[in-house]
Parts: sequence; structure tokens; C-alpha cells
Amino acid sequence: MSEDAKPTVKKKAPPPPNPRVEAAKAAAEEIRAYISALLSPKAVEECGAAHVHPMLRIRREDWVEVVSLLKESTEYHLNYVECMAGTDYSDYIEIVLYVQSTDLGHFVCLKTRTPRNPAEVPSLCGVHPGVNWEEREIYDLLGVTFTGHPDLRRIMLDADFVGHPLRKDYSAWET
Amino acid sequence: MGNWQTQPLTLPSVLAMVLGAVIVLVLALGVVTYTIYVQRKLLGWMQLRIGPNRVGPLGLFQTIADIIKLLIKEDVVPASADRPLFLLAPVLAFVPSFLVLAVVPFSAHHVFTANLSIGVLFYLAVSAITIHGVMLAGWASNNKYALIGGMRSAAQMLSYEIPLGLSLVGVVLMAGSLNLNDIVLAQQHSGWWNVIPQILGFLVFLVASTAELNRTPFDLPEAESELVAGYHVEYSGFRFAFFMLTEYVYLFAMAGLCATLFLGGWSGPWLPGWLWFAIKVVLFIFFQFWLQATLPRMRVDQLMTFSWKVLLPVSLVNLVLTGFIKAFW
Amino acid sequence: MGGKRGNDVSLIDEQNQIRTEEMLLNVGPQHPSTHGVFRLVVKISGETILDAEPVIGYLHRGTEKLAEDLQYTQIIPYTDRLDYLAAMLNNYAFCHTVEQALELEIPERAEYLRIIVMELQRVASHLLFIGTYLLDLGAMSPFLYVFADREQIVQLFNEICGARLTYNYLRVGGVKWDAPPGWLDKVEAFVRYMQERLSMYDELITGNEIFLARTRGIGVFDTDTALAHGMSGINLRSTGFRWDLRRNKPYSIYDRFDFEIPVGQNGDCFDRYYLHLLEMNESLKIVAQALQQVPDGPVLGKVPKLIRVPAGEYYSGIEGARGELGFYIVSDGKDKPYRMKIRKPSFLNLQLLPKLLRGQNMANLIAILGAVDIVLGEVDA
Repeated sequence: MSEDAKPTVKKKAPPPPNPRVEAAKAAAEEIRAYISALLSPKAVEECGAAHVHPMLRIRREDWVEVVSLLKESTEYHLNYVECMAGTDYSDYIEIVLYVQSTDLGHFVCLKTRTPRNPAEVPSLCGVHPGVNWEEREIYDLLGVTFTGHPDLRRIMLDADFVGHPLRKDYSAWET
Repeated sequence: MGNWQTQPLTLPSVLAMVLGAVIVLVLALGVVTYTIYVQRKLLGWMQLRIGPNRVGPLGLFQTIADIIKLLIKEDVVPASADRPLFLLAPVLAFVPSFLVLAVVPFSAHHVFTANLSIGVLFYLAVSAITIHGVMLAGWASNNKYALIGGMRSAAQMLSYEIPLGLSLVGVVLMAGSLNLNDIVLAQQHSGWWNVIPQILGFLVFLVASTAELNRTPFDLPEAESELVAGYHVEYSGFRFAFFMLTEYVYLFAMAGLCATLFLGGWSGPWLPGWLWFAIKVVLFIFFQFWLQATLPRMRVDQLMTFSWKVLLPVSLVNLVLTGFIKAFW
Repeated sequence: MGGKRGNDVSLIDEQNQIRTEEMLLNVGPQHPSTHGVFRLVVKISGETILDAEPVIGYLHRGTEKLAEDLQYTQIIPYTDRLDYLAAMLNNYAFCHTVEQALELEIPERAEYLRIIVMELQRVASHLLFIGTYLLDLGAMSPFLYVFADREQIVQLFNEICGARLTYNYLRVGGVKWDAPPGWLDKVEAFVRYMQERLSMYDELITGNEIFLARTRGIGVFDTDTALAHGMSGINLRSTGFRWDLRRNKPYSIYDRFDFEIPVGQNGDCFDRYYLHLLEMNESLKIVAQALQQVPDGPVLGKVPKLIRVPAGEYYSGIEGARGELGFYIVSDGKDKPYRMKIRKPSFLNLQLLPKLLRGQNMANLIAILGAVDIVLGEVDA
């Protein structure tokens, strides 16, 4: 297992660009413009494509506002969380949220980053109650503290477990 | 020999009583043993299974093996249990189940049957004692599931005691006697079994007796999927065997009561009385097993509502109707 | 329970309710109706549930962590052990994500074989739901009936891949083995047989008064709640919301088949039960159509022996037996995923349980928990 491996740049640029990827990037730009118009232009730090889905990286301070805005907006109405995940990238931790609009069909990947120590991200429980357990799981396995979470406890592991196994520097042998 | 009970108490008559009790006890144990076997076989067949077939030919000794296993198991009393009550509960539950057999007339020549003039009342009164055993078991186990099971049991058995009793009153009115032997004779005399004139009472009795026996769909006290095993969850070994025995002896006794009150007891053409009685008992028991294989379980509040809002009025209507018929015919 | 009344002799509290004492009841981890090692700490007053706290993690094996040390093909058997009642669907969900990442062409025959095994698996899983649900409600026989029918599916799977529960049958790019001779005919015979059995189940169970009384109007939630809590599958559809990924985000070759997405009306336990029955029928329809169309040809596409997923992140979800089953994979271009996250439908569906249970009768606990249809292997992953 390569300890400090880190995925290289997301945007792969093959000689013939994948039309779906290009479409996703264009869609991401649109969403960025939408967010910039309604919130601060700094809210979106990066936009591109996560494989064939529009991807936007949100500034951590604006995380809740942006997700809430996109949920309430009539243009996007991203009302359904399909997947929430956290990934440890050695020098930062990324929280990924795949949200779907059940009536308009948009499917967007939203991200935010937090330093590893202390890892803190505002909780989305107020916007999407369904991420409650997902955030608990990420807290449990990755050690990200979700500020404002109503019930942040370990969910999979014992309450007295030491460490966060999904962190890349976790070792079961040294505790 | 039929009326030895009216004779003065002499040594031979005491011996006869003891002998009679022992014979009834052995009979009941045999019936229970094979009721359990038949239950498992029948359920197996109804559920596309084989049922017990390992111990003895066709698995006939399976229950005996089970009983032996239960008897030689270590006697465990949970440390936090209320010890005296915990030990007392199975006995309290078990003794009345055998006592009630005293009044059930097995055959025309009721050798082993107490010819009690208050037979029906005796049955109801004594069988109610079992509820205490069940409740005590639930309480004394110091287990939450057992407690809930015991409480449910008490509530259920008490609620269904009333429609059960009222459904019997109709029969008593018809016969003009509380004596079970007289009730059978009255049916024989009138030419039809009570199940026809007392069809309403019979239906109430059927439902209420199923509930009294804690059998599906009223098996809430032992609701496995909710309460694990209900009031006897902490019992094992021979104490558990006592509870099982109680359950099946009551099944037998209730079948006997049903046969006596509604199906003409031992009366019937051609065949000997004891055989008629046996057939009717088997029918009742089979019916119970059939229900068990077919129905899901009722919910505890629905169960209560059903007893008080459906069965009780129906049995009262039956009672009033019977009263009118008796008065004006 | 020997309530301490002290000076206050009133049996009635401020809300005019009879004073009772609360009791904490541990349902599970070893309990016949929790369908695995699931613990529910219930606070009850009499038989009324005041609060419920699900405790999970007893079966946590760290599949996501393990996957980081495994090559892509090696992960497939691990997915079998998530929702062990629907292993084929788990296999597919994982392979599908990797195939999306690799943009692989899947041979036609493989696609059809996958559809057949997946839909049979859905039938098997739903059958087991009906059996265990009825068992929870106190009816023993349906459990054994469905096992007899499920056994036939298991036998079919055994013939095609040599395993009865954890199949490890699908591969990235196709399936491991072609169907043995005569297998497709057996499936066809089974589909016909099963359709008859389903109508029998319908007659036996659906109209039962006791069953209706125990499930109608119990555990009701609406579409908004379900969506907000990330519920999916039958739990979401029972509220009347037509959301099935086979239709809404078509994957594989589901666009070639003619099938309905049944939805419920009331969002209660009965709807959830009935949808299982209806969905089995639709699955059988899909299998029957697939059997008509299945072509000859290879069953495994051209896939490198050592699969290296291009760097990037990928998510794709499929309609599993219990809801949206998705895999999120982050790759750094190596032969092992950098991070794998499973979107576990049971896990998310279970979240609403405390809300559903509050204020209910103890006996409804089992009815509600059973209808949510969880598999602990998946909840805990």
C-alpha cells in the first residue's frame, strides 16, 4: 500500500475529449455562475468534472449555504443525496456529496476540503437530515468533526476505539 | 362403581381415587407427549417439511427424548431472580392444569371423573389460577421480556376468561346444570349437540379458548419475534418442561371441555364413548394446529379490543337469546 | 414495577396520564427479529415506545478499508458479503462502477446473463423478505414456503456459478462462466412456476385480516421525509414516489425491457410488503423477456488481466434489492482503489427508524423494523 500516494490531477485530458466530460464541465460552469450570482463568487473554489458528472469544490465556510441554495433553488433543486463520502488525501480531507434532483434530473458532485488536523466541516444535517448517519460514519472512520451535528458519535466502531481507520496514516499496530 | 364418590370413605375407595388420579395423570402425560409429536409432524407437513423422524420409528420417541433432555438439564435459577417465586411459578401454573382434568368426563362410565355438580365453574375457577403462575414467572425472572410477556398473558387471559365464561353459560342454561356429566346427558337426551343450538356460543368459545390457550393467532405472551419467549424466557430444564406441560395439558383439557360442552362429549352412535370423546378431542387439537400453521399473530391492543368489543357483546347476545328460548319453549 | 410514589400519591400526572415508569429495553443484538446482529435500545412506558436508538456496527468488517488493499477483481467477493441476500446485485453494482470508469464494452450475452441473474436475485431477496416479515408477524408457514421457492433460485445460481450464497459470479467486463447447457430452459420453467406461486402468495397473505390489521397504516412516512432521509428502493416507492434507477437512470440494458415500476399509496408497512410482491412479478417479466432475447457469443469482454482504473473519481448507483446501491471509487491510476465508499441502502433506510417508532406500540416495532427490510451485512459493511 503506497502510503502517501495521491491521485494525480482529476481532469484527464485525452487527445479526443470525451463529450460527456465536456458537457459535465460546461454544466459545472453554469452552476458556478449561478452560485456566484446568488452567493459570494468565492464560494466555488474549483469546478470541473468528476468523471462524467459536474463537479464543484465549495469553500468550506460556504458548504452549508451552497448545498442549501442548490436544494432550494428552482433551477437545480438538488433535493436528494445519493452518496456522501470522505477521502483522506494525505494533506487534506475531502468530503464528497453526490446530489440528485429527482424532478429536474440534475446530478452534481459537490466537494469541500478541510485540513487534516483539525478536520472540521460544517454539518449538513439541517439541510439534508439523511446525511446524519453518513456524517457520523465519516467522523468515525475518517475523524472529521462535523460542527453543528446533533449527535456526533462513533457509529460503526466502539466508543472507546482509538484512531480513524480510513485515514491513510492509520495503522492497526500502533495505538 | 360409577358412584363410589357418594359412598363413605373407605380404604378401597381411597385406593381407587389414588389409582384413578394416577391413571388420569399417565393418560394426560401420554396425550401431551403425542400431542407435541403430532403437532410437530402436522406443522411439518403443512410447511413442506418432514417433521421429527430421527428418534425411533417415524420419530415417535422424539418427544420422550426431548423430555429426558429437559429433565436431566442443569437446573438454572438466574442470580437476580426472585428465587422463591421463581421456583413456585411453574408449580402454580402446572397444578391447576391437571386439576381441571378431574371434572372432564372421558367416557360414559365416568370412572375417573369427579361427578362435581359445579363442574363448569370448577374448571373456570381452577384454570384461572394458572394466570398467577404465569404472572409470577414473568415477575420473578427479573427479565424485561418475561415481565412484558407475563403482563400480556395476564391481561389476555383475564380478558378472554369473560367471553369464555359467558359462552359456557348458554350451554349451562340449555342443560340446566353445571355438572359436565349432566350436560352430556342433556345433549344426548335432546338429540342434538349443543354446537347447533349454541352455534354463537360455540364460535365465541372457539376464539376465546384459543386465546386462553395462548395459541396462534393469540400467542402474544410467547410472541417469539417480539418477546423472545415471553414469560418463560429465563426458564430452562424441568421448570421449562413444566410450563410446556401446562400448555399442552390445557390444550387437552380445553379440547375435552369443548367436546363435552358443545360436541356431545362421549355420546355418539355405534362407536364406544371413549372413542367418540377421543375423536372430538383430536378434532379440536387439530384445529388449533391448523390455525397455528395458517395465521399471523394479532397485536396486543387489537386482541383486547376484539375481546371486549366483539366477543363480549356476541356472547351476551347469545346468552339473552338462549334465555328467551329456554323461557318460552 | 413498584413505582416510588413518595408524597405525591396521585396516580395521574400533569398531562392527565396514568403515571408509569419508563423502562429501557435492549432489543438485540441477539434477538429473533432483528435479522442479524442489530441492537435497538428502546425506551418504553408500558408497551408504548418513547424513544428508540439503533446501535449498529456489530458486523462491521471494514470492507471499505479492506478494498484499499485489494485489486479490483479481488474486491468482488467482498461485495458478496455486504447484502448477502442479494450478492449478485452487489457484484453488479461494483463491476458497473469499474466498467463505467474504464468505459468498457460488455458483450451482449453477458449483459443478458447479468440481467437474468440480477432479477432472479431480486426475486430471491424479496421472497425472503416476505417470509421473514410474516415470521416476524407470527406466521411461520410462509417462511418455509418461500425458502422452498428460493431454493430453486439458489440451485439455478449454484449451477451457473457453483455457489449458493456468495456467488462471485460477475466480473469487470462480463460474467465468469457461461450458462451451462439447458440452464436457460430451467430458468424459463422456473419463471412460469414462480408466477403461479406469486399469485398463490398474494391470495394467501394479502387478504388476511390479521395481517392487514397489523400492517395497514403502520409506520407511515411521506415522500418528502423519505427523500430528505436519503431513503431509496421500496421504502421510497411505497410513499407513491416513482423512483427506480432502472427507469430513472437506466443502466445496463434495462431500457430494452417492458416492465412497470409499482408504487404504493400510503407509505405504510402494507404497501412495502405489497410492493415486494409486485416487484417480484415485474422482475419475472424482465427475466422472461431477457430469455427471449439472449444472444450467443462471448460472456467476458476484453479486459486486461490487471485492471488499472484511470485516475479520477467515479460514482454509479444501481437499483439494488433494498434501494440505491452505489459504489464511489477514487483511483490514483493503480490496480487498487485509493478509496472505495459504498452507498448502502439499508444503512440509509434504517435512519428513519427512531422517528417511525416513537409513540408506537411495542408490537409495532417488529412490524415497522421488518418492513424497512434491512440486511445487517450491508448496514454495517
